Amino acid sequence: MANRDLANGFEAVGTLSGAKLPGPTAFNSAGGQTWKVGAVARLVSGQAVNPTTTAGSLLGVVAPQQGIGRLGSTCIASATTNQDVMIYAGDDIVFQGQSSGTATSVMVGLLCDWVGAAGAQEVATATSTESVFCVRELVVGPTESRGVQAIGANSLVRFTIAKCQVGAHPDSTT
Amino acid sequence: MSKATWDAFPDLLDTRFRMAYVDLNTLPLPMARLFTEIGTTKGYEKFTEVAMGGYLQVKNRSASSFEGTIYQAYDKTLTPTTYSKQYRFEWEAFADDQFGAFQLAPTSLAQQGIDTQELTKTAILDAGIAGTDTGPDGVSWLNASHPMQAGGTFANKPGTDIDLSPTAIHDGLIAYEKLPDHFNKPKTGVPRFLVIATNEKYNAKRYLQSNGLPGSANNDLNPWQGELEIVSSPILTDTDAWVILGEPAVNGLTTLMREQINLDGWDRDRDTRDLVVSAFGRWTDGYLGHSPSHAYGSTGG
Repeated sequence: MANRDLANGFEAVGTLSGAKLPGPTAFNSAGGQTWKVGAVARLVSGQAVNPTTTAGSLLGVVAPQQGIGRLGSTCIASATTNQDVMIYAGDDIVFQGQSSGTATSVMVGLLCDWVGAAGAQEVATATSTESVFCVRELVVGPTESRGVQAIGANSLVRFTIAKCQVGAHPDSTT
Repeated sequence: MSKATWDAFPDLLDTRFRMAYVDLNTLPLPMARLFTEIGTTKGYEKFTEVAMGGYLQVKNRSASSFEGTIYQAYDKTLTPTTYSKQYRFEWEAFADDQFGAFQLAPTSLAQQGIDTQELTKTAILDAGIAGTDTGPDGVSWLNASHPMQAGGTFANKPGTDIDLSPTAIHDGLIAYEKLPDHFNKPKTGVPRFLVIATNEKYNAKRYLQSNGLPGSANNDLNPWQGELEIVSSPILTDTDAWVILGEPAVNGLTTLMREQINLDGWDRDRDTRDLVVSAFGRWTDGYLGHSPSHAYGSTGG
C-alpha cells in the first residue's frame, strides 16, 4: 500500500538521548506572526518568527496550544508582540514529518533541509543547502494516522534539528 | 395574535349549524427518531470532543514507546430557544360556543408544540443538507473536505451530487462504511436510516424493500433489502436530497431540552373576563462532535 500523502508539518515524538520528551517552552512571538501547529520557528532578536527555508538555523517546532492540536492548523492567527507561543525547542528532540521526496535508508544520519509553507512543511531529504535537519530514522510499519508506512515516496522520517538555536552542542547554531 | 371574539364567530353561535371539522392534524414524527435528547438546567451548554485512536506502532528493542497523540477536537455550544403560543377568547364567545370547539384549544396547542419540535429538528437537517449551517468542524454537514484532527480531510458526499437510485444507495453504503475517525481509520459504522423527503418515499421503498434487484429483469437478489430504515418527512425542504445516517447514539444529532412543552391551562383575565390558554417550551437542536463521519448523502442531482 502506498504511503499516505499528507504534508502537514512536524510533531515531537521523543528524544535522541532517550530522556523523557520535554514539554514545549514558551517563547515571545514577534508581532503579526501566524503560528500553525507543527510549523518550524526561528528566533530573531529574542522573538520567535516564521522562518524562510533559507534560514541557517531553527529554534524548534510549534506545539499544540490554544485548544488546537491538529497538525497544520492555525493556533495563533496574528500574534501580538511578545505573545507566548509554545515551541518544542532543542537539538535532542526527535521530530517526525513527511519526506518531500523518496526516502531511502541511506539517508539516515545525513543532514538535510525542509520545504513548504507553514502548515504543510516537509523534510527535504534530498537537499542539503542549509543542512538544518539530521535524519535519524525512517518510520516503518503501522502508524497512528497514516496506516502502514513503507520506505519510499511520502515516507515518514524522524529527525533532529542539527542547527538548533537553543541546542546543547557548541556547533549546533549558525 | 388576535383574540377570538363573539363577532368573529357567528357560525358557532347560530343554532342552524352543525360542527363539521376542527383542524387537529398533527405531523408524523420521523425526525424525532434520529436525535438524542439531552436534558439541561442551564441557559446554554458547551460540548467538547476528545480524539484518540489510530494504531500501535513498532517499538525497537530498548527504545521508548511511541507517545500517542490525543487531540482536543471540536467544540459546539447549544443555546435553547423559547417557543410559545397562546389563544385568547372573549368570554362571551367562549360561553356561547355551542359545539365546544374553543375547548379544543389546549389540545391543539399541545399538538403544535410537538410539531414545532419536529420542525426545528427538520430545520437542522435542512440546513445541513443545504450547506447553510457550519458544523463544529468549521464546514457544512455534508461536505467534500471535513478536517481530521490527525491531518487530512474526508468527504461525506459524492464528488458529483446524484439523485436517489440503487447506484446511489450502493455507492453510499460503501462510502458510509469507509468514513474515517480523526486518525483516518475507517469507523466501519453501521448505517441505520435513509433520510429523504416524502417525494422519494416510494422510490426508496422500491430500492430498499424489493426482494429482487430493483429495475432488473433477471432473478438477482436485492442486496440492499432491509439495509436501511426509511425516514421520510413532508417538511424536508430539499425534495431530492438523501442522507444515509447512523444510530442516534453516534450520529451526533442532539436535542438540548431545557423545558419540555408545557401547557398552561385556562386562565381568566379578571378585568375583561377573557380566557387564555398557552403553551411554551425551550429547547434547541444541533449536531455535535465528529457527526459527519456518521452521515453520507447528497443534495440530489
